[in-house]
Amino acid sequence: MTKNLLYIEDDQVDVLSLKRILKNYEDVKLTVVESFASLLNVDLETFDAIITDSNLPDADYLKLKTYLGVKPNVQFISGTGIDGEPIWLKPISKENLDTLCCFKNVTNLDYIASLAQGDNNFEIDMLETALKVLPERLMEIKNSVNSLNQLKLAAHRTKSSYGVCGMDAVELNKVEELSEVEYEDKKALEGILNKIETTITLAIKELEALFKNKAQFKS
Amino acid sequence: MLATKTILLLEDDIIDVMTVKRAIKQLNIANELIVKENGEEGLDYLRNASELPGLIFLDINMPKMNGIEFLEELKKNDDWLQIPVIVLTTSKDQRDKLKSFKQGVAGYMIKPVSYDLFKDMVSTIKDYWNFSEHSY
Repeated sequence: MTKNLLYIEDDQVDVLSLKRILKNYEDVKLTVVESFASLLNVDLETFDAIITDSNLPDADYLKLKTYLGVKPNVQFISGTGIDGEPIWLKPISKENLDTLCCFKNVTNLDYIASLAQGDNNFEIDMLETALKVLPERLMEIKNSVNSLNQLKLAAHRTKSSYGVCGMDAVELNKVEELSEVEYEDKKALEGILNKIETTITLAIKELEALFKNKAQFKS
Repeated sequence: MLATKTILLLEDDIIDVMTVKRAIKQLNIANELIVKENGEEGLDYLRNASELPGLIFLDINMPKMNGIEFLEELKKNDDWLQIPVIVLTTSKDQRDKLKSFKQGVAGYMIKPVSYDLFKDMVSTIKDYWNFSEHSY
């Protein structure tokens, strides 16, 4: 599945550096824009992930943050960092890229395949159910942020779906293990919940593609 | 005896219900599977069933009445306490495991359950109760 990555950067050395890292990946389509003015002509919804420098000739961090929004698939980078802001320091590392862009699939359907044992209809039913349940679980988590107990329960309930779809539940485990003190660190909590949202969003895209592929062979 | 009895699954997650149903089907287990979403519904079923189930699969985290609370109630009843229970849970918390075994469960499996482990555990329990002269 092709991943579309938007890089907003005016420094050609940084652009070359990213292109070099992307040689390690197949199926990544990179689009580069060098200015805020150019960015205005781009349809952001077509991109799976957006990486942006925090300072452009025609826009500062605040302007970019306002325009792009605080979203799980948008990441700011900078040479110096900004106090209290979740900004990556340059240069971009492969590990950071993997985390943001999830170039490796977040789902692994070996478990469903082991149960299906070649039964395509069963796989389709499981995919269809997962596609229904995952957004519901994400909504439950989002609706539970005001109560630590509810949040832990919601995270726990999501683990079943994660397990069946072969997804890494490390962030869900972090939520389940939150102490009262850690819960009060809203920025850190927001970071964890954003990662959960990113993972589920990517999982849904992967499952939709698989479902579409398999459904044409439903008997 | 067990061959004619129902299997009761207490589970509120539809994906887990589907996986258990599938695993049972692959084992060619002909027993009817009854699904209830929480401990309260499970107890209601036991109170009203014309025949008690031969096996219970039990999730720990359910709304209204969780698996541990259900187990406590189950073990208070002379007619129910001999029904073998296999816990199916995502909880790796040793305290949940300990509480479950203290209540006398027959097995404890972490979800998603490996098909081979599921097969072994269910086969073992089925074989035991088929040989057993115990009637309940």
